[in-house]
Amino acid sequence: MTRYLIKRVAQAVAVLLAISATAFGLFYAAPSDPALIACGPKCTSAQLAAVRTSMGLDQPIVSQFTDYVGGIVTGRTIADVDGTPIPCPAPCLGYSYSLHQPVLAAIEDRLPVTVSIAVGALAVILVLGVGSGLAAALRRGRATDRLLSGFNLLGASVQIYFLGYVLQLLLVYSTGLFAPPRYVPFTTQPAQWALGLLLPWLVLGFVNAAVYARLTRSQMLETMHHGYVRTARAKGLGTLRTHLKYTARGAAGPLVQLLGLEVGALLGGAFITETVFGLGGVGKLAVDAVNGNDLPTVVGTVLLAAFFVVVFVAVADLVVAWLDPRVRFA
Amino acid sequence: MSARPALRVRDLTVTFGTARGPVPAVRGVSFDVAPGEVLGLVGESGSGKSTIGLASLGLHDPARTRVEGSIQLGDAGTELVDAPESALKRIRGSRVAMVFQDALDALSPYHTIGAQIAEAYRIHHPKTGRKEALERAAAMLERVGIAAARASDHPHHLSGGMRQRAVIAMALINHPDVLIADEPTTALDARVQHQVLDLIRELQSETGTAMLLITHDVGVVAATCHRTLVLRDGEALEEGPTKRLLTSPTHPYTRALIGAAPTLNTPPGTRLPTVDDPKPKPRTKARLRTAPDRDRGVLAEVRDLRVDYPGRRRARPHPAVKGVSLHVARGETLGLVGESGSGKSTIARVLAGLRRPTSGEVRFDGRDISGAATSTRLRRELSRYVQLVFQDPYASLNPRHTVEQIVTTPLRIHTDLDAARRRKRAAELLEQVGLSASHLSRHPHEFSGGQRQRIGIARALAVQPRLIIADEPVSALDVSVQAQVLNLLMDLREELDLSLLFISHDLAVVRHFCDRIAVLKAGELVEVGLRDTVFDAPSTPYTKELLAAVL
Repeated sequence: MTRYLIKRVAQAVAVLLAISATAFGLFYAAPSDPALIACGPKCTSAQLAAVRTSMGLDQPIVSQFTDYVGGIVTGRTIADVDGTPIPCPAPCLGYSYSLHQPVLAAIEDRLPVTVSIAVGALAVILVLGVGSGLAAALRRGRATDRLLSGFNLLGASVQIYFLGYVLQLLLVYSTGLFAPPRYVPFTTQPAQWALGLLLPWLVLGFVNAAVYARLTRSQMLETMHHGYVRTARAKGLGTLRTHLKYTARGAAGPLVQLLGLEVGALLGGAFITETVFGLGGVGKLAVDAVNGNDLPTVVGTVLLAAFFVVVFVAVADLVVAWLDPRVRFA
Repeated sequence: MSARPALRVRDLTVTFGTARGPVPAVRGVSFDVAPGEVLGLVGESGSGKSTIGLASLGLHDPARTRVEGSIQLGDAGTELVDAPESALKRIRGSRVAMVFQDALDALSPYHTIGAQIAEAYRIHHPKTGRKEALERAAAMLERVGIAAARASDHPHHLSGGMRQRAVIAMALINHPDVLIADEPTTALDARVQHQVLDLIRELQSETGTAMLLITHDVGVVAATCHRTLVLRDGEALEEGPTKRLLTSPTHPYTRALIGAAPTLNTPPGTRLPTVDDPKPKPRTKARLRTAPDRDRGVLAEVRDLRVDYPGRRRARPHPAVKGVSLHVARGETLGLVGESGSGKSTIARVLAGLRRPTSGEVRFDGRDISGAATSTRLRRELSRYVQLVFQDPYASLNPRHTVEQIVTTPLRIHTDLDAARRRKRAAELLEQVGLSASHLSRHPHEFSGGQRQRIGIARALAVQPRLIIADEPVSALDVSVQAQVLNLLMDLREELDLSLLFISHDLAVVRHFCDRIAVLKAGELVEVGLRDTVFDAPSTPYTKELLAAVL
């Protein structure tokens, strides 16, 4: 077990290093000059050179990268455009010259929004996707099954930006059934938090639910054929309890794996949802940074997204191993 | 025995609704099982025997299945057909319990055996605490010969025999009035089968439980059942005390079913009776020889063969074959017998050039072929002379290919015949194995298991190989089909002068079919000798034990 954990952590670190190096390299190769952007259009070439030196852009890319990685571990001091030192404690993800704040601080400002969206969307995915998949499997071939699969197909084929705008128009602006989407911190007003995010949750969850509904249904139907399910019924266990205790357990593996990926991806930011509903989350931060050539923020958000995926895939593997005692850590 | 039967079945008819319309699986079957009595339900696949078992628990999907007639339980005559699910739930596992065939599949891999047995108890004793139920489960495990400490093990940590014992413990924990055992020992090695059958009988007679034993194996019936009911195509053909039924069957099908499976008393090499041909005459003279023509020389041999399977990560490699030397002479049939895990299939794979030996010599016709598994060229050359017939006729034929493609592929690889000639040869081969040229354009799913195995044999014969390795070629087949395929192989062996390596766990079949026998145990050669020597005067205790377990 310890060996497995060490191996897993080493694997995660290697993935994150590779991803940050790639992001770093790509932006270095890009034609735009971060120093020029930071300095502004009225920059003289002497000023530009000074800015470049203070930003560390005159260093070779390898040492820029090692500085960056070192900063994540130990923290470092970064010079602003005019040379004033800015302390950046570990884990330092660099300093955004466009936002004039450390990248980590910029992410920390927006992460609550992203986490809030992710948590709610996940709940909707579980209820709509996994729940309807279970219901469809238990009522296979009947009207419920057909109705649910049609409903899910609708979700899979509609786009977030379309559904999001249409629902906002219908439910918020025309009828006022829903509160206008907005973010209120959970810690201050939990009720307002939920009301303000309800529509984004439903839209994001609904659009992603179809995959889970299909997978749940097919996994359940496949597992139902196992002898141990029949054994449970032969013991006198009721149909529903049999399927929830035995069939669902057998069906859970691939679902948990996929959910692990989904959680990681959702925490990395849901740009389209955030944009449609005007919520400033990590996804929007990342896309704005790409458009504005804000290299440190881009690398920081990419790294964050990768970190979440790596962590939650590992968590999913642990859950699968806990569900199925035959799985060994290797 | 009390006046009323524990289980009373009258005019039971079970119909499955399929896409092609209703298919009757059981047609008007009636029988009684008295308390303490064991009734055997014998029949081949499709005879409806398992369907009767499931119907007795009301386990059929009501949306697809129609159950008619009457199944009554005990003195009160509780009717099970069309009983509401809530009533059935109370009966299942408490008054009627079931032991299924494949214990690995029948036990949940996710829960410990203790928890699974305890659950069976708690469902019907809801006031019992978890701890008390677990204690009862542990005691029940002790009763079936498993240490109570193993209750916290998951099924995959237990041997096949222990798993089946755990399933029996689960079925008997509530002292059911009726026990339905569906092929309870079919997946087990003969020695373990013997032990498990003894255990079931002991527990059943101790508690006075009525038992319905469902099996295809006449030997199991003979050893276990008071009375026997023979089923065919969903209909009851004949019923009576087992002894009378086995010694003087009245129905020709029963006679064929009994005669089709060779026993240790069947004259070896004779044609076996089948359902279509109850009194067979051989196409060629029966092979009654006991000594092969030794002077014709060795065709294939392994010397001091060792095969290790790599261990998981740092675990030590697992030795599957530990220094075995044996040979197949030209024109002889060598039988390789042993329990699961004894290394028989590994040896076959090495001789076929599919597995690289860890050490030792492997020769075919004097030539070193130990590198065949890693050299595509050598393996291809070897496959010109060595062909395989596999156990599972469903898995070993490509479902997307036509029979013509299946049978002609070896010809395409090894000969320069053109398409028309290959087709002609394929037609000949099909005739030879008892099919016809009109089958060429069909796909495997259109054939029965026995016909598929014939196709597999035709494919193996296509390039006129010098050695055929048949790995459990008849163990997946019904007995009457097994008899047909064995008859066919015996005919072909004489007509084509084949050399065979015949692998089987069934000693009676091996005795019937093989000239020489090699007995393996845990990767080692225990005994090798002429058929009559091994069977009439076995020299090792292990062989004697194996023979004693044959039912």
